[in-house]
Amino acid sequence: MFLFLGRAIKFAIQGFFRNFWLSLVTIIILILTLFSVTIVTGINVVAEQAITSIQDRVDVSVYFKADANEQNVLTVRDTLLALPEVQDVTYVSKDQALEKFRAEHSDDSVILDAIDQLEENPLSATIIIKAHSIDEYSAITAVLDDPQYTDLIEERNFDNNEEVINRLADVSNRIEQIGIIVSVIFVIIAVLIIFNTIRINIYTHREEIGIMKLVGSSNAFVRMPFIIESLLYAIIAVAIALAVLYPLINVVAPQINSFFAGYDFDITSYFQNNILRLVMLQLLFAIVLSAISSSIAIGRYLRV
Amino acid sequence: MIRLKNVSKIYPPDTYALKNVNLHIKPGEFVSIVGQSGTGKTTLVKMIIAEERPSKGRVIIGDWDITDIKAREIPILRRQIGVIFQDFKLLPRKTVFENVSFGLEVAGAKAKRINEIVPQVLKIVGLDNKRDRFPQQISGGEQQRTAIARALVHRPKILVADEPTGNLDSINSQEIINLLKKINEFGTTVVLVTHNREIVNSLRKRVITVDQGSIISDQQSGKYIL
Repeated sequence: MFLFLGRAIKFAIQGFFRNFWLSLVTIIILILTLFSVTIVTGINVVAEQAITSIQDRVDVSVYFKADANEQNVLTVRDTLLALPEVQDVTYVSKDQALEKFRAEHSDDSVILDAIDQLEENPLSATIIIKAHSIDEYSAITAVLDDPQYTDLIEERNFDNNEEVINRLADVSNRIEQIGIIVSVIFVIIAVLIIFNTIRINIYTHREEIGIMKLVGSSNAFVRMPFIIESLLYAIIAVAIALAVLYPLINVVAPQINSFFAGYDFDITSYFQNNILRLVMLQLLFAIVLSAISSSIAIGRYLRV
Repeated sequence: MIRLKNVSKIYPPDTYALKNVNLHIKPGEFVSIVGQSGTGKTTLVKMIIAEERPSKGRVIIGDWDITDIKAREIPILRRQIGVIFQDFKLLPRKTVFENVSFGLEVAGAKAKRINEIVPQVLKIVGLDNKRDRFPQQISGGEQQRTAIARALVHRPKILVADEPTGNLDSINSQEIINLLKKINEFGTTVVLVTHNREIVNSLRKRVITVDQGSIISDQQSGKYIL
């Protein structure tokens, strides 16, 4: 068994170096495929991160009239909380608003005096609504259009935000669509390139396969060197792809990170945290691709 | 050693490559199979090495009926029958030594045995001084001798030579035939397929003549009669 495997590896390495240019071309094609897939995935990650970061910051503030009854305001809050679209509702009462106002102007005695002069709290209660998804705000604000609530509400800032939110949702969908289209194009290109590599492989090796059959080698022994050779391609391609990708990410990282300034996202640490997963996925991807290709190539020529 | 019983090979719809062929080759014989191109000589060879199956009849090698041989048994048969061809079928990217050891390697022989047998066989065919050359660096005759050496490493009981001299000049051809005779003297059954009149006439061995898929003559110490 070891003799068998050892000899298969020996034949594979011989095949690799004696067909050096073909091996090189195959590896380069694999590297390019890995690159395109990784970059598309990377862009998807960054875009998704960008959208979630921005979406996390989007909320709707509803300002109630100063004379609105607190009980009614709480009813509104509870109604909103009961909606499936709503992720969270923060309620700021009149008193809390006043306290906050005082804290913010604690060094301005004129304003504090003016506030104290008033008999009633001039500030209004506010609730801040957060939805699960950016698409759902219009459904939520529609609820607030109910006449029993409109009397209570002084103003809501969603009206101002609505356009921005809609555009953002639009852009995020567009980015996703483009990402999917680009990925599909790359997958098609990869499939075509690999299909062609299979054909070249068949062409260069068919004579050798025939002779192996002729001198009495078993089918497994005919297959093995080609499979090992293709695994060799995969491993080398992944190693080179990562060796190029890692410095590349470090070069691009400052730009991406400055884009995300103030948000909780760092491309370098993201890459470092996921390096093992990335290596495994790339290796799996490359091995699956080349194993499938070589199996098809060998399968077609082993029927003699 | 080789027995064909009522063998026919039909290529659909109705082309007969072989028609009701009966043949018995005894162990240690040197048999020439002659005939013009396209008369079914090569089909006969392909039957013997199980590259083709008969449409009718049975093919028996030794005690083994290979008519319905299974795909995984074919390698075992091929290790008992050496085959050489007009176009040598050497691997261009392997040296003479590697081409010869290839047959043993793929059969799972140990390195020690390979290093013992291959130099012996190379000596028999007279290539022990060119073992590290690649096929394109040696002459046609030497390439065919490499192919013979590869066919011999399994110590086959049968050696089938399909037009072995087709690509060679007369001097090289004679050398190859002499080598085949020497191998036959060691006890190997040799089946020589050819349409070279000179060679057949000089051999004075059994000659089987094939024409249009049938055996039309089978003579001990025969001549090329077509």
